[in-house]
Amino acid sequence: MKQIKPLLLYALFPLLALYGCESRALSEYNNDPMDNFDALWETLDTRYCYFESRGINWNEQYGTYATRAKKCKTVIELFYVMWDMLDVLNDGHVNLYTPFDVSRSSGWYEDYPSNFSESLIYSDRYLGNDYRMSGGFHYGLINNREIGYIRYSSFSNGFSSAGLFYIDYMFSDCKGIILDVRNNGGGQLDNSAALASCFFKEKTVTGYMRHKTGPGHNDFSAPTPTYVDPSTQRIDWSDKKVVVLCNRRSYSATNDFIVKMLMAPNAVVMGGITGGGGGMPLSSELPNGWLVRFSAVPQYDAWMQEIEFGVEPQILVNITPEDLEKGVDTIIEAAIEEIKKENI
Amino acid sequence: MKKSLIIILLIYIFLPLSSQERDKITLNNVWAFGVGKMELYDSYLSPALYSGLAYTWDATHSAFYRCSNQRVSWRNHNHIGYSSTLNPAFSSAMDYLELSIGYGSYYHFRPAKGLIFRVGGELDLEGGIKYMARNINNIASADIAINLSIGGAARYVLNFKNFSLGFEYEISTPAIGCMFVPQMGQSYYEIYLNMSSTLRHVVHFSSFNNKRGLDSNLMIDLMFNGFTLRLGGKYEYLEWHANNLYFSRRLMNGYIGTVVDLHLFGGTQSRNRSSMSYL
Repeated sequence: MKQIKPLLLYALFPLLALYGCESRALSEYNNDPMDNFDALWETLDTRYCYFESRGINWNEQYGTYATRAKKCKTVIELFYVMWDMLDVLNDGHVNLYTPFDVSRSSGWYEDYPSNFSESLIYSDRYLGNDYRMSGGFHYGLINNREIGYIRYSSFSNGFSSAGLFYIDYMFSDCKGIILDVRNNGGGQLDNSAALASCFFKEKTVTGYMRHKTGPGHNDFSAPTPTYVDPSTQRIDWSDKKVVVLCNRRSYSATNDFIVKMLMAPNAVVMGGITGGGGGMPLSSELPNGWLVRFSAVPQYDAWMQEIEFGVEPQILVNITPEDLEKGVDTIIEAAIEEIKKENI
Repeated sequence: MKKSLIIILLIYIFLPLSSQERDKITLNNVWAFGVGKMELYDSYLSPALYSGLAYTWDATHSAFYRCSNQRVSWRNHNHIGYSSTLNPAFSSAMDYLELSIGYGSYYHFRPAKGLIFRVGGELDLEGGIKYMARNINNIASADIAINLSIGGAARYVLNFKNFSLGFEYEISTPAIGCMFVPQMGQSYYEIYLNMSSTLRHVVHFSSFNNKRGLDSNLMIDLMFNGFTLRLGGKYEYLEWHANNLYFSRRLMNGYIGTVVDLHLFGGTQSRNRSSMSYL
């Protein structure tokens, strides 16, 4: 019996240690207004990736908005205090989703020329009504069937290799291609890489990404390269003249696509500055079940420059009010001229 | 294809028998279905504790290595589980699918008639995936681990005229192994893009410092002539952390199953109650 007692103690020790640590993994927040506010502030504090780049003192924001949050009497009031706090970040990838509203950042595109009119694109001068659709693409021949035009409105909508083959067949006699990603708010980075790979001759480093490795504002991993690899795509448009159209609302995955296309050998990027959104967003939630989305994985171009605040096109063109009145898309017209110039 | 799968499965189950004496081999098989409550915490996906219904299916095969020396046995344990859980606000769902395969060896003590203790270890390969449709980019989290677990059990059998009753309590804890945990803000897309350079940051040595758990089972076997019904209750708690991410899993369930002894190679003469149900 004397021998068994120490054995039992040894056997019980790991179990006692186990239960001593159990509570560590459980949620530390209750579902009251200040706990929800604290959870939101802390989630951003530990996981948001652009405090330094945006020059924001997040601790200072806590002092300002916690005072207001304490006075809230309804969840709707609390939501608007949280919205105001998130708006300080001025980041289109930061949203708070509730059953009654979604917070969003203001000012990142409203203060720029829109450079986009859907009614012009689908007017008889350009795509008209008899355009074709393949996956997320609307495409057709414009300018006396000399130029192929693809309208891609969201990188959330995929496309297939088969679809690209049909487009390639239709565009086989074209002088060049216009790829219009204006007002494309982004979507999947996979689609951005897959589409860009049609325009490259060889595997190319087009950028870098990092991620948070700890709760500190500067706890980042070493940058890892991102590539565009044409061997993954069976369509080769690298010898065709391509003009990519963008504007301020070309955001997130579209911004990433523009960064890639700036390195494509025969491509020209034209239009207005993109919206940015270089940080891949992740999400979390508050104790009351509201979802929060935030930039978490910063991305850079091939020279390790920030792309969060937008990318300048190679040729800056704005739609003029006069052209708009005449039913002319100044940017498409400039793209047509650019392609014709190459083919003289 | 179907035939190949069946052959592989048979080899997988019966391979350990090759080292046994070719007489009186009794393969003890347990199949059990359970329903219970699962609590999941995965700080990669959410800071909230999710809970909901869990369904489990377990298949366990065991036998003594040598019938002439019924001290050391092997065991193969296969587990599949599915849980459908919700956050405390009932505004988001997390589905969890888990699979594990384990092989272990146990040493048996028999201090008194009808009473048996066994202690040993088991090497488990575990895989699981949690899926949260509502999340953005971090919609899934993978649990992949190899563990060497240590454990033991106590079993007592009461024999009646045409009926036996077996009570068993089994407990185990993961002792050492390795596990996959992504870095705190790392997306699976990034892991996929840079698999070779990322691997050293996401594969971790695990032991009591970063992975603690307890898997306990209380079983009652109702052993009729030719048929054994198993009723049981399970409590499993596991928590692990790495890269500033915390995870836990708690399962409490009840299960019902059957225990079948397959008497191999020895014919009817081998039915001498040499199976693990009785000893």
